[in-house]
Amino acid sequence: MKKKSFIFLITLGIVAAVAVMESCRKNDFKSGSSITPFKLEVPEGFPQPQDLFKDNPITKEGFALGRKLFYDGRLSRDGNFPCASCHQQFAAFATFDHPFSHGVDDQFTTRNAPGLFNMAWHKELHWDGGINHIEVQPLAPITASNEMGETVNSVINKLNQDGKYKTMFAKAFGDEAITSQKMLKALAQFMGMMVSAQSKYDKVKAGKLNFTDAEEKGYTVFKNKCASCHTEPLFTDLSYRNTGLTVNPYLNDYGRMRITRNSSDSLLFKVPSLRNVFITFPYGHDGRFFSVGGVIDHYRSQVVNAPGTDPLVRNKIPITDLEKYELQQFLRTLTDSAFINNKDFAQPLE
Amino acid sequence: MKIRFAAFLIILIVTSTLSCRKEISDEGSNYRIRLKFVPKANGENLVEGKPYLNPLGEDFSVTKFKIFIGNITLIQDGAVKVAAKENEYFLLDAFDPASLSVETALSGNRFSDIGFQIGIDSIFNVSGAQTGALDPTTGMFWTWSTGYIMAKLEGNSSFSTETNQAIVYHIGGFKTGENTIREVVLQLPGQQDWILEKNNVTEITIEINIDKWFSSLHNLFIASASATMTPGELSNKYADNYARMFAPLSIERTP
Repeated sequence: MKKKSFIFLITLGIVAAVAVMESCRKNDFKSGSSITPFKLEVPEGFPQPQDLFKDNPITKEGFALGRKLFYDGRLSRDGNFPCASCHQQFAAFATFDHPFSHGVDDQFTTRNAPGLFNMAWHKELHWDGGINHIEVQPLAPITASNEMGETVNSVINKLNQDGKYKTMFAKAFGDEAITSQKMLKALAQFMGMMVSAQSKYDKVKAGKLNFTDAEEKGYTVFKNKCASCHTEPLFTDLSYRNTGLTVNPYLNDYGRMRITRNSSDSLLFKVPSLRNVFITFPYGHDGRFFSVGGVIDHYRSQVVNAPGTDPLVRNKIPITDLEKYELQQFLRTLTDSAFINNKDFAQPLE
Repeated sequence: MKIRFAAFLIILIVTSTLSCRKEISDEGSNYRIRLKFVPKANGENLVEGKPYLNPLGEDFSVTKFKIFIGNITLIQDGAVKVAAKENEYFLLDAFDPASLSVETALSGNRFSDIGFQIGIDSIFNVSGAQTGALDPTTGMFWTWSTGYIMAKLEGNSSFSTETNQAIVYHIGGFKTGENTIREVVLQLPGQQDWILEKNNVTEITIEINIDKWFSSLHNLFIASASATMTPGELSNKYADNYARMFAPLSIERTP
């Protein structure tokens, strides 16, 4: 009897202590909901990504919310321009076949929309590197008068009128209050998870497939003549360079110089990745090149030297017609059809 | 034996409860201080849209004036004695009276001067989306080149060279060489130290003299700079000037 009550007392005590500690923990995480961690997989051979998710751990719920937001026209003033209107999955999230994308009121953007993939490896975003964190990037297109033309407050108001969003914000972040911070963190989770590393090139690297003869030769040309800037495995060294383009007289876009206000940064633009290059045409910050061949021709014969022109292209890059063909064969192996068909990144079904 | 074990369990429960409470409460910050800011121009309370004359002889009116302050400290004998909650920021808006009265808690109570920072520390300019006072929806955040606008003044002047004779100053920049964060130290009236009391809020009324935006350390003519919206040398000069806009008017205890 004595022994029984003793055991009962211990049990009671432990239960009480655990209950108290549990209530404590709940307070810390302020959630009654369950979240499912979702891991950003680092592909074989890739460097470590930027430390973007330290304060924004990726979860299935946060990712799902970001995905819904990415495809939601309500983020734009007139409802017609979700992020996905300029970032189309079938074009590796660039705008297919458009030098400039469309914004509200029949306006055009002033720069070519880049593809979105392997974003977690980018320290800075935009052609001029003006954005220093993936979370704050969406503020630029949302508020630009020629893009989504909206205010963030108005977006938040619209989202607040949709009960589904309240549920999704609650699931992802523990409470249903909709704030710009949570919206931006969810978008960052969705975009940060976009990884493109399943192209034929990747499969050859993994020993699962072989290049054709032309692709193999093109890879050699690439390594000799392109790889200093379009460095593997991201196919960009993420630097800013003047590639011998003249300033566009209609845009007067001097690129990086606007951010640094340093004249030596005149006409420097971020080196774009060559992954998925064949489905992200046209090319260049102003979309002036309509084909990969056109870009190769620029480096072969059209580079215009200015004080800031990169030494690597200053003397032009000698590429024969055969090499040009082989190079294009190789670049086609960078198209990642698994990525552009990945249902996880597609428009969610309502 | 049984009693001893029961006592152990009780202690376990009590300590786990206490350790829980500790994280929630802000123990030790028992002294409260309120800074009440009064924007003025030409010696009178600032009125939205009303024409004034700056010290350089140029007319101007103000339709918008917002400035970030934060990291309030108590200073004694020229050194920081007590800092308020770290990274606590407030956005003052000249035409939103509620925003002009800010209150914080401190763990110490003896001081001769009060200090605060104008602008947002660089870490919050590079760490993604923030919330609260730092929410980008306040319009104090650049979307083309990431970073906070530390202070914003908009209005009109017949000396302006801009469309509609607008004057537009968005002052920011946090990187080396273009840092617009400034520290302000205000000497409070009286020879002796001020002492905060528990359960009382001490209120310090501080003037924001808009005239000094244009002329204090630097003379910044509207005619030669009607709009500034990028970090850099000129923004640094406005920052030097805005650091000199503040002056204490009075200090009093309110039970």
